[in-house]
Amino acid sequence: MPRWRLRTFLILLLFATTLATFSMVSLGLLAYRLPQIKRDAAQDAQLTARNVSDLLENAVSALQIQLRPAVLLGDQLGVQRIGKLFGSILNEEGFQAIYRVDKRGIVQASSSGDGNVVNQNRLVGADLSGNPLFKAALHSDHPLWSDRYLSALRGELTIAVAYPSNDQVLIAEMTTGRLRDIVLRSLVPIKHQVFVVDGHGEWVADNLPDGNLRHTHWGAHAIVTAARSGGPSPEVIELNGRSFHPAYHRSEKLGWVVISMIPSGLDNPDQARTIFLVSLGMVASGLISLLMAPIWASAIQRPLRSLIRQSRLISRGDYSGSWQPNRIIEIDELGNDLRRMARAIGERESSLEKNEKYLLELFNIAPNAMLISRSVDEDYAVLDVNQAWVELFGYSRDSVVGQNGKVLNWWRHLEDRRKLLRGLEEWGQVTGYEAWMLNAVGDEILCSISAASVTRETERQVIFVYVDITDMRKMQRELDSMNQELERLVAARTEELQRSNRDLEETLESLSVAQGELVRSEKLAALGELVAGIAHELNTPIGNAGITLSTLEDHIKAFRDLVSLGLKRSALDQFVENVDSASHIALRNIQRASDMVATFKQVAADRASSQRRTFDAKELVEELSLILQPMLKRTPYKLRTDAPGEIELDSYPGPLSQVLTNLVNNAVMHGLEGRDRGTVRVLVEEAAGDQVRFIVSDDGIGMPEDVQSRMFDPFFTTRLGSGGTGLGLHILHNIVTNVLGGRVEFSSAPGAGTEFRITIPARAPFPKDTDQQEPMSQSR
Amino acid sequence: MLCKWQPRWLVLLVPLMAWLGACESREPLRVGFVGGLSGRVADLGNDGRNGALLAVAMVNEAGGIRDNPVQLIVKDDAQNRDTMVQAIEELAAANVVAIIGPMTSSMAMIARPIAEQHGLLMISPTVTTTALTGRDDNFLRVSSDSLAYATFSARYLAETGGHMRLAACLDLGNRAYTENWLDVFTDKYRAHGGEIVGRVAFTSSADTEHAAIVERMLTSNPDGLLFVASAVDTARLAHEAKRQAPDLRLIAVEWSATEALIELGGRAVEGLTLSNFFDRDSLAPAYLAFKQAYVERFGREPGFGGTATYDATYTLLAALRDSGGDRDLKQVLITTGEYPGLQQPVRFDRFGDAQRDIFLARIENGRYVVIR
Repeated sequence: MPRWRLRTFLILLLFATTLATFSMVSLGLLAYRLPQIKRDAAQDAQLTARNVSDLLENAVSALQIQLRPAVLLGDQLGVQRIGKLFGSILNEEGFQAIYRVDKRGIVQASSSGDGNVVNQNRLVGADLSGNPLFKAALHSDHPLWSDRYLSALRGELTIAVAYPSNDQVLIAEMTTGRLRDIVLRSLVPIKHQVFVVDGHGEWVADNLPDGNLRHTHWGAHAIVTAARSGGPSPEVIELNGRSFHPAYHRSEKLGWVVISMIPSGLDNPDQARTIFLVSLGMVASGLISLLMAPIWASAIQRPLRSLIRQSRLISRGDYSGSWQPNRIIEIDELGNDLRRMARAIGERESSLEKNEKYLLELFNIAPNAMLISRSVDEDYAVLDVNQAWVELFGYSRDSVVGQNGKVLNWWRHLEDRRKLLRGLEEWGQVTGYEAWMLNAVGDEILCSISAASVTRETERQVIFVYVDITDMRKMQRELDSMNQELERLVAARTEELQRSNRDLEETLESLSVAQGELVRSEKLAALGELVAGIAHELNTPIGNAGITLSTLEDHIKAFRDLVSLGLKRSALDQFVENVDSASHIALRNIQRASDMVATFKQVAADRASSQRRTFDAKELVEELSLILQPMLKRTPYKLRTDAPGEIELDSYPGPLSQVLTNLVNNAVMHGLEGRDRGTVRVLVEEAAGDQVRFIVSDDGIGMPEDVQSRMFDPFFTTRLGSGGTGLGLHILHNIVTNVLGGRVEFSSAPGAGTEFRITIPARAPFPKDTDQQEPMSQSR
Repeated sequence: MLCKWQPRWLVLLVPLMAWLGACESREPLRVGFVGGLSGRVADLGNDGRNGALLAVAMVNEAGGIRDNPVQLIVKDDAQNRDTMVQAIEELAAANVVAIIGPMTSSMAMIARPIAEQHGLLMISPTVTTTALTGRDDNFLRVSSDSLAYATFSARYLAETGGHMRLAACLDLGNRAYTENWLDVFTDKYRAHGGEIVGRVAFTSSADTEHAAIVERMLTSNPDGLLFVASAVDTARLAHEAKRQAPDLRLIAVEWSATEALIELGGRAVEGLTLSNFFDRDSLAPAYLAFKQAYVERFGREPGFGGTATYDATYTLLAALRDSGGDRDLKQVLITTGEYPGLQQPVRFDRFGDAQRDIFLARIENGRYVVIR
């Protein structure tokens, strides 16, 4: 692919453009003008032919006029005289022979010569009857010009004119040469080339520079045939290798054809001039453009050059420089863009530099020892090391750059180096390869080496990170040994502990046994106490009943006495009342005792024997109230109950009322003791989770802390010996939690009263250790 | 890319096309003709020229020679030595392949060596001088030589006229022919028992005193007058003969047997006997076609000059076609054997001479009538 300098290219382009433009314009011009010239030439030729024809006819007429005297007088004069007359007509510029021929064709008189020399009557007696002119003249009534023929008189090619008259024909001859001269004289003012041919196409005369035409026969030539037929003349004919635009004019008088020719093509002066001027113009414009083109090329080149300069600078890395505004918009824009690009590149480069510097700094300040090397000739050479490395290994940076570990003898075992490098080559990176290295002073350092390789441009570079793990290794070892020691200790201790554990277990077991025994003994003691208590408890009602009944006995005795004395109504009423009351009290007490027994039974009895049923809470509470009212009647305290209706429970009502009774009793006995008034409330409410809450509260003295904490303990009582067994709350707790499946909560504070909350599920759980069926099969 | 290059090509194309346009499409084949187109034998020369033109035109109409057109370059020798030399030089300069002509023996004697210098072949239609017979040179002819013509005439005269005493005149302007002819005739006629009793030489010109010539011829008191001259002179001589000695038999030579003789002679040449190159009454189809074409083109009937020249030209062109441009033209002409002629085939012997039938004719009623 050819390459050009811009200047050369521009010059050539401008030159070519100019040339092409001019060529096209010229072609257009020529295309317009040349046909015009042709047309003008044709017209001109036509005109010339016509003119020449007229001129010829004039010349010929002039010649013929010379003959007039002979014509007019021919008939009258005798042979001698006519001969003389003929002789006088002959001249150097006219006819060369004249003779008179009679009807038979015999020459009567003749005269021939050239001016001075005149031959008289030479031809007299000659028979010209075969002469075509003579023959034609016989039938004509006007002068006839002949074609070219050979003259008998002169023996040359001749043209003759014949004047027929009544009984003779006058014939005047001249050689074609002379005729040609005469015609030529007429043709002198004619600037175009003209030639004349006769009726047969034989040449007559011409004004052409060379005589080549005269010997050719023209009869078959296109122009002559056109002339003969009267058709249009051909546009172009060729003569002597040159082309012409012909035109013809036929002289009717002479029967001759005048053909005038205007050179065509480049022979035509107008055409030649036009073409020449056009060519000259083209050449001139070419030259001018060649001269001017460099200037224009420079004009374009200058701004381009400054652009090129700019870009050259930029390519060399020089981002400075400014752009001068340029007239050409595109170049200006380009320059500005280059400028901007340069700036951007400069900034980027400087930022890259900064980055590099920054990276280098990072590298240097990296806390880990790092080394970068590159592969060179199958081996490696250090490119750079960071500060940490220098500190670690003790070599200066300059002393290691370009060297490698093998050379500088860092490696304790060269095998390590080999392995490391192989690993690197295989996998591209190595992590945590441990090897012993030697520092500058020969100390051994254990390093954990990590390396990674990267291909940067064509070079393979590797970065090594060395972590000095010598100390760490040492510590690790110590730690290991300590660990081992520890383990040993631990093992020992564990064994000890195990042994103690075993001992403890044994102790626990014995303790537990003891506890069991203790519990059993306590239980027994408790039971003893319980029995004592029960007995005590029972003693009260039974005693009461006994007392009552003994009272009754007294009463009866008294009554009897009375009866014996005489029975008064009042005494009877009193007696009945006493009996009633006594029996009532006794019954009640007995009932109480019975209940207590039942309750006591419950403590040990199978709880499963309690009756389970569905009942209404309100009913239960009302029942409770009923039972308890009598007791409370003797006290200044009130019992309030509040139970909304329709709270149904599927549970053990017996134990429940026992619980509630217990609580009320407690409230009366403990809470309100010593007070002159007080209220015990029993509330029932529904609780979340399908539970029912019974709240027994009093506004009594409350319970102190230490009592609260031991309240539910068995046999804990604040009044031992004064009516409480201490089992009440224990049993209550058991019942609530085990039988009713609920829980007991209380809140109390000294002086603020006490509140017990019994929350039980509406459906009490079934006891687990019985042989009862699953609850589902039970009907509710 | 196209735009960038286009102007360049355009620039180059313009002169190229101009040059191409100016080039000739085909180079024509140039054949030269030389003859006396002006001067005292102009009728023969022009007739010959016409014959040559016609032959060339016919060949061109048929497509030329191997698609090249034939161009006839016509030169006039004006029956003049200097003119002839110049004519040959000009023809040579025009690069003709051969020359048809000349028409007269004297001119041929001048032209032949010059043509030979330029390596040009000459085929003459009508030159009969025996000086050029039997020579292996650059000269060929399509007609018989004077030996044949003169012998023929002598024999005929001896057979028909008995033993006559003839007075002859000859035109020294064409000496190579006239002297040659008369010598042969004298020889042969004597052999047949005749006699040439007078011999008047003259040189034809505009001032020729024909009357004086006839007078001189008559001094030897001949039985007949033999004119060895051109048509113009023969016509004038016949006039004088009729005037001075109307009963004498008049004999002329084939050289003068043109149409002009009759035109110029009129009644004076009635009864004139003379040998002829050809038979004007021939019915050969080629000749008839030729005659018709000639009349159409030139407006008059062809004479022996035209006929013979046509044969010569046509033969040359045929040989050119056969030679393929690289064989020796003369060899081709000589070895080919026969070429078609208008009235008879053209056959060259190894010297380039030919044999043409000779006719004896008499002028009767303004026409040539062949009697043998």
